Amino acid sequence: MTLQTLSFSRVLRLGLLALGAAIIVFPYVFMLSASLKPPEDVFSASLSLWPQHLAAYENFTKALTRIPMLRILFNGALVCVVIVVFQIVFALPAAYALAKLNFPGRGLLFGLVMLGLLVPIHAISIPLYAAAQISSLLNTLAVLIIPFILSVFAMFLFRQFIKAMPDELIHAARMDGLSETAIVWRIILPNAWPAASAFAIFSVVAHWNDLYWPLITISKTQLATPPLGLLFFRSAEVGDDYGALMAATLIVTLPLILFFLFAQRLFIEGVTMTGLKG
Amino acid sequence: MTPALVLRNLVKFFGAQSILQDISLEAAQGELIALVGPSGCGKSTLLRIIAGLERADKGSVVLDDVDVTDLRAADRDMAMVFQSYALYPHLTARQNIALPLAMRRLNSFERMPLIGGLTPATREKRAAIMRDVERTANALRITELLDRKPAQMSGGQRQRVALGRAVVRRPKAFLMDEPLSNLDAALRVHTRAEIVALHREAGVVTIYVTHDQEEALGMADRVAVMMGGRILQIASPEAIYHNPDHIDVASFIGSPKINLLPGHVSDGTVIHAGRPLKAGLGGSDRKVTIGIRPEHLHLTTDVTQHSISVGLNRLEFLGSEVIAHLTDPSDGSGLIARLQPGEGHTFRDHTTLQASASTQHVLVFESDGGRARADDNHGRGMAHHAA
Amino acid sequence: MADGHEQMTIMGAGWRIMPRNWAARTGMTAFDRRERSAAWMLCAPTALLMLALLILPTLAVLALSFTDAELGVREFAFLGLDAYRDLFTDRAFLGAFRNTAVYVALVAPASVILGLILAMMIEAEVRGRAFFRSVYFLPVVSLTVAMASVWQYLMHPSFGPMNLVLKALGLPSVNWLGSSDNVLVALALIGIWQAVGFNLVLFLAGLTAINRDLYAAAEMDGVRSAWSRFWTVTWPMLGPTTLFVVTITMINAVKVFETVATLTQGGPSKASEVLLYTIYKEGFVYLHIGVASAMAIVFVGVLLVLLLIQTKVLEKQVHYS
Repeated sequence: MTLQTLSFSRVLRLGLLALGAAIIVFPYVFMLSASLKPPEDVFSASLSLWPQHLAAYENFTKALTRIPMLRILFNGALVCVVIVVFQIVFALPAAYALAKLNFPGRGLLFGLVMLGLLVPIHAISIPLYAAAQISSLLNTLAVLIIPFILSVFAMFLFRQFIKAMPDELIHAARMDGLSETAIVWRIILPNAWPAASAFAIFSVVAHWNDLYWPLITISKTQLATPPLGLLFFRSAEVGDDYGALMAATLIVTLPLILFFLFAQRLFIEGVTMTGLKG
Repeated sequence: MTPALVLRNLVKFFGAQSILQDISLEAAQGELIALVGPSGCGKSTLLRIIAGLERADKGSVVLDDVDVTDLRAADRDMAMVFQSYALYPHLTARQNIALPLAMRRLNSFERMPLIGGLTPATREKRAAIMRDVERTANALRITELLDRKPAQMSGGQRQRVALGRAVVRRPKAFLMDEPLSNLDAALRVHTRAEIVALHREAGVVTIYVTHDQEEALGMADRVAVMMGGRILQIASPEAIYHNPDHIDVASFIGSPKINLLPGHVSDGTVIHAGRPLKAGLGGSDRKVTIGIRPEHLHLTTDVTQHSISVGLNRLEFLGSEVIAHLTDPSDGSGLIARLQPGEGHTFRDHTTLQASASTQHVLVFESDGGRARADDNHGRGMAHHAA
Repeated sequence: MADGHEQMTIMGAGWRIMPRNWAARTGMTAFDRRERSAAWMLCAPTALLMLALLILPTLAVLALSFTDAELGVREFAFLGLDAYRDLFTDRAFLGAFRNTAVYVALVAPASVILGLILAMMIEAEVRGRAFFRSVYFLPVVSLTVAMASVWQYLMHPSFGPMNLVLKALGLPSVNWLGSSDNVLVALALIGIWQAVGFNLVLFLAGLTAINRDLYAAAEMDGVRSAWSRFWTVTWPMLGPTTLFVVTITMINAVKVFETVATLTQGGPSKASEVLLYTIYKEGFVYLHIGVASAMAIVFVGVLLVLLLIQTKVLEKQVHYS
């Protein structure tokens, strides 16, 4: 349409948006500022963003050494990636079957998928914990991964997406002699890329953030994921060393934010797609 | 009588790109003008500027002697029918058609769903609105659809509701943006006549945008052919068809497309492949393009003074007519001739025939696209002749 | 005609060779059988996982909920429905229920309405759209536990920037997380801060999907003010999106855990004990897995009721075109 001019309403709108953005960004600004300050500056109750004495080195060193920070970040990344891969590997074939194939038990399976969407991991954590305890899987990376391999959300999302794909694609593949399994991996997966990446983002964010399950299954700092590691850091820190805490939060928050800034479109499209199909 | 709608020197840019270059037009009261052209020629933009949904960068729009250029669309008292119908999906047909009346006759308090209808005055206004809606629905024969929502209607039904919404207001002008292009072919022909009937009954000026030249020719009082942001010619359908001012007009209008042959003028005579086709053109010797419509190309086996040789590739029997696919041996290009059902029985594929056309059907275009008319001194026909 | 009659006879003879109900009698063709076994093979791994990770655990929780089992203790008693009756008279549990309800009531409407308003403002912007969208989305991709810690610093009674700003404006400072009156509000602020961006993106998608012609039609119909435009076109067209956003927001709000576990551990004086945190404490700190299981079932029940209410009530008013 016509190009926008600086009318009064537009200035007002931009102003309000900028104010809102400032409120959103306000925690990050202070997080960064406090991570550079020594305790005296933090306690000095001044609103100045720049520290009197630069304590960045001390704060970040504490953050990286009080707990094995890098190891913890690595744990988190590894667990998230492995979970996503397994989730897609298990969900995609079943989603294809639900979407395009006719078989007895299809209704039952789909009903179970809907049931699973209702039941969050927290509700069934007790028996899962007991099972993990019995099989001596507590305090391993495996216990962080195994319960999440099943993702009914992935099955639901992929099913909706695959349903919308034209049948002719699959008929052509069958005529070319592909088995159903080959169809899933050679035809469906490449074409379901938008849904797969949308889901991957959703899953990574959810599991990166998860505190509940690591909290109950992991007690060794070496095996912690970032949320849990941060909790350990908080209890390891004596007193209110907010400087060091802010440094730790900065380190732990940075990876996903950087990933987001680089792949913004992927994230936004992912959220939008789950919204449209949900 | 003053014209109902006047457009003066409308110009529109999008960034550095020119969308409309100096559009001027006068439409009389009760006239249906078709704006026709290929996609991207600016006709939809022009319609939106007339409606007030977009602003021109320069120029003015005058409706019934009132300059509406600076008025917003809601204040111009024009009605528009959209290609996508733009019916409110959450409202019934009745509510859709009633909405423009409600917006104009009721204030915001009276429009409120429950409390608005409390006073007797409001109730009377609402009843009057419903009466108008029902009258329009009867005229369009959609009374039984009134309580359905758009999702429960077919494309043709939705289209009539959209027409109803435009008609019920009795606006000063109708603007239609390709309203038939989403319908299937059979329905289109039928609905075309209905739209013209509605237009005649309302008696107001209508601007009808379409990319379908057959629709334009069939419906309009005058046709304006637009290309590249300019009106190349505005005239009656007959004049546009038989007397185009520009080669682009001749090519765009008419199906199958007009045959174009290269030629040159020598001593005032137009010559193609060594055969003289038309005499009496003024001006110096120069290259020209010759246009002959398929139905004017007459095929025989006998050679005449003004005929050219063509090779017959094949005949297509289409029931009501016969299409002959020909090749011009002088440059290998394809030509098409339209024959009557009885003709052509004796012709054989892959033989040579003679094609000729009477002088008034041989159209000559200069190298710049303008029409060269006989006994014109370099008759360039870029002027907008109202026929 | 002679031709047609011959054809009919041959067809008739053909039918007599093959019984007409051949397909019906065998139940399916070879093709169907192939499809069926392929489908089962594709679903088998997932089905097994479902059994192990979803069905059995859910049944186990259901079973446990009727007992007073404790982790590490051999004997347990079967309480039947008494287990639930005890739960609903337990003051602590009811308190958790109430706290969660208050939290949801604070977070859900605010983050949905703010998300919508911000989305409409951003949608009207042509140039800055991507920038604002990304800025508002940052909290969604930030580690909740980390940002909760940051908010703890911000909300510190004496040197936290929020109180410093209030003081600078001449307003009294607030004991955000330390006062049982304010703690739910403080947690709700953090929750809203984190949810707005997500809702905004969803609303933005819904807004851009609205057919532009509808706005043009409204203008031609005489809909002049932005307010009328909103009620005539925007709000009805956003129906499905709004339904989804409200549902997701409420469900996520009910599942609040990270902020409570990090900042308040249910305090002060149980003022911020929310459902999930109580389940966690009962089950994994006090090891009363029977009680915790009953709470978990109630928790799922709440989610189910929320989902049902919204599907039934709101879907009637949502206009899918």
